Amino acid sequence: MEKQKWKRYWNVISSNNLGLLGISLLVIFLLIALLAPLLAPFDPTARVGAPFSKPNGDFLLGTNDIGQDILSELLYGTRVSLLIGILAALISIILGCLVGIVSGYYGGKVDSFLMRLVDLVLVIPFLPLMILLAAFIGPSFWNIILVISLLSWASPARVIRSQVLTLKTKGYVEAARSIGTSIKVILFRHILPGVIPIALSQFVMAASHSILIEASLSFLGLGDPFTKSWGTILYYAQARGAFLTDAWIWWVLPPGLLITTLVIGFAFTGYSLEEILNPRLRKER
Amino acid sequence: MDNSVLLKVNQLKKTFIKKSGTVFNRKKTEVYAVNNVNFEIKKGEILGIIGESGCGKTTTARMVMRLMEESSGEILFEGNNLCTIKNAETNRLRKNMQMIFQDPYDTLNPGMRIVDILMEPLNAHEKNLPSNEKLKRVIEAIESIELKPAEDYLYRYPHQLSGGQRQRIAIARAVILKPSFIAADEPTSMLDVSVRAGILNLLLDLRKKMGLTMLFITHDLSTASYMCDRIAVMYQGRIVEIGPTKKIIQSPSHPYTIALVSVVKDLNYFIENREKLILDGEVDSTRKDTGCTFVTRCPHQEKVCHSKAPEIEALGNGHAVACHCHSNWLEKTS
Amino acid sequence: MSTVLSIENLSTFFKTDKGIVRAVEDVTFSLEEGEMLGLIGESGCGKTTVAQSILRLIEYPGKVVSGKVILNGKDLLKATDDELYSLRWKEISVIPQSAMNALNPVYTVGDQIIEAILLHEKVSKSEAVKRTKTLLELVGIDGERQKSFPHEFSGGMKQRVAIAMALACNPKLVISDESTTGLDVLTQAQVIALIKNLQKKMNLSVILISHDLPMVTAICEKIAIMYAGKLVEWATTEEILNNPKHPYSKALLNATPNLSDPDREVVSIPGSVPNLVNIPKCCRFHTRCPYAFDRCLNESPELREVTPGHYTACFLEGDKNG
Repeated sequence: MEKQKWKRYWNVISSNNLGLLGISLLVIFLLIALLAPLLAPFDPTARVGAPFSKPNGDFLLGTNDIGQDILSELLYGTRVSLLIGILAALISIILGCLVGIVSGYYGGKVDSFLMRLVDLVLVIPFLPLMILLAAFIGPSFWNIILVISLLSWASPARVIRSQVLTLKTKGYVEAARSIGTSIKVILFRHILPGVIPIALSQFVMAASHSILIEASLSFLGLGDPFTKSWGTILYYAQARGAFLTDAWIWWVLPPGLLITTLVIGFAFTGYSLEEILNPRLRKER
Repeated sequence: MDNSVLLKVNQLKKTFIKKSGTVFNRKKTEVYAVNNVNFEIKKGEILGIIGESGCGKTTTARMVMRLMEESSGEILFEGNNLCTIKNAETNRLRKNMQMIFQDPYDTLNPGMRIVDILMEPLNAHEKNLPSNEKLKRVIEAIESIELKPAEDYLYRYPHQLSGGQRQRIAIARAVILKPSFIAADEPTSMLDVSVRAGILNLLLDLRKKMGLTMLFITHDLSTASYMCDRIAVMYQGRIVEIGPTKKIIQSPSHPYTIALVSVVKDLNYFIENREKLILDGEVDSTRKDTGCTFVTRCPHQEKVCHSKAPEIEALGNGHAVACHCHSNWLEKTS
Repeated sequence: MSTVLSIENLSTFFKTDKGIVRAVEDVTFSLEEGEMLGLIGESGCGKTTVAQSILRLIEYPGKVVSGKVILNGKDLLKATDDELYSLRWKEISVIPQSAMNALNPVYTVGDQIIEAILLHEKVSKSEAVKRTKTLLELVGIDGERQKSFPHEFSGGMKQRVAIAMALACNPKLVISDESTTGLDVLTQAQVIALIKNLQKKMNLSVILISHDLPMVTAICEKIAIMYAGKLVEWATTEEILNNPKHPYSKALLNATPNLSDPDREVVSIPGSVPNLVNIPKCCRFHTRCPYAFDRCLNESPELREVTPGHYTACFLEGDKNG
């Protein structure tokens, strides 16, 4: 059954063109991130050419203000962007699951308190606070992840809570209670399996969200200056006036396109995951 | 407490608060889902609770099984008051009290195999049993519910079984710990007639073999009369009549029970004597604590019925009824 | 007495991905004027499909593939849509399973009955209003309450309104599809008693579709029992109760607890209903029948008259009597 289930999920994803495209994009980016040292022609931190070179045979996308190869920077930047996106999404989903499950299963005052907290997080103006926080605790790889996940667990928590509320009324959950199964086991064996598919699709959404936020923060100069992500590249491009010269074609456009493509990849995967959750499709066993 | 009594329920109440009015003028009314219910079940006995949907029979069972908190009252099981003991202690006692639910399609987790479903009670209460011993118990349990060969069913999923087979697995899950008490909440109401009889006979059989005591909840009087030693009739949260099955069916004493018995026994009788047994009134859904709840439909009502709720009153031979004036009109009609 | 409805060899199939579901096959029975026939069977046996086929309510992927449904000499399956429209309500009407869904919550019950009358008969509005009042009183509801909305009625009363609505245009045939399921025992008895009394009073023919054998035996003159899409037995109630011929009917009677005889052991029928997808030619009960022999596996028994007025589809009975 477990195998069958995953096979069925795979069937749904692969029968959906968008989903397949999304997953292919993600796989490509993952490969780029993993194989960056092999793919990149130069060390991204080394000054390998004259500053502000136009694209040529040696430097396919030219060089930046201090003579580093932009293509290599981009390839290595994939690692940072992807890692930050996935880690931040993971943390916020785990947090969201925790809050959602506890809130949904226990109900009552705990639920009221946690949901008001969620409301609070949801209504806070997102970007200003994020900028404030990032500026306050200082730019670093982990701080960025922390800031993003602290502010994006709320909406997954909501979604997961409502799923838990439905699962809680299932006969088998009540049966487990009457058997005397401990709450821990009920949550792990009966509630969690029902939550995982939703958590998965929420995770994909959160990841694309996190990547965008990371890019925005880095673009504003709040990113980690030592691990260059696509956003950081854009920041330097902006700071060195690339937006105003011809250089935007090889310095600004490529990272922008990469960000967009990655986010689209996540979004398409998310759509097809949602299709898996569609009860109409689930019925056909 | 009397040693032969396994379960005793005393003055059990469950109220829900119904809010109405605006924020500034909030009215709270108490609605009684279960009101002053008393009964006891002797060891090895099957007590049936019958009543229409919403009369509080399932709520009572859920309170007994500690799936719901009571508003007041006490539930004594094997001498322990379930309403006051700690949760951990309740969980230990659950080994001896299990429940069978109404909907066989909902009560088994669709993502778990039969073997995992049946392991669940063992994992909760017999953690230290070696796993091959546990598997042996599971196979025994499947055999006891007459699904053979048991090995065939171990690795199936619930959706591969029919409704009757699922309900049997649910029964296996309830008896695998060899409990002394089982609460069965309409275990056959979702099943077809041809399968229903098998489940009823299985339960009777298990009772004989394992010495089970049962609380059997149903809305069907003929099922209750087939299964139960004693029957309690519930109406709008109260027990209106309780007694040995034979007594309830042969000489019902509450107007509600009389109507119920005559309807089920002989529909023709009901049709031809329509005037006699008119129960046209609306069901009183407010369920206030004053007056008899049946008063809106009762053909024999008197003044006192509107002001005071009738206490349950013994008629002898374990037969009791909650009606102010049953002696008056019973004489008149007989 | 004349025959109001006769159904001959009705078959209705459903197309699915897995094959053709033979939901109703070769069903034959008829109904006399003023007669109440109980059509009973377990869930999925095709009794509702029969009703829908009679009313031509089968929609894709289902299809009535063969047979005749003759209502007062006219084959409904061949009737045009216009003819059908004029027949519904006036000749044949339905009391639906759930009155809550049949009544529109935003109109008063009176308006809904009046609308039905005006749509099907050329009468003035005031006449329709008057008739609605009489109809409601007929089913035991105060005629003044026609100005109430459905939510102001209890479940049993809504069912009464649904009955009044079904009778709005004086039909000759009423089909009641599980119309008391879901009501409480006492309310159910009231509604059934009402249908019975109206049947007698208005000389209606009624098909009562139900899974509740005791209720059907109490009020129907005749009973037709279906199993897995086939009609297995059709006879008077007395015959079914005292002299059931088909093994399934016998088993069904034995499986039903009886309050008058609580000590009798109820016996379940072993096995389960066969899958109707692409089911081969055979007696569909053979997997659960204690008397099944070779012939039952390869040939489908036809419904035949074994004693006058008593029809059954079983090889054992056929052989004994002819």
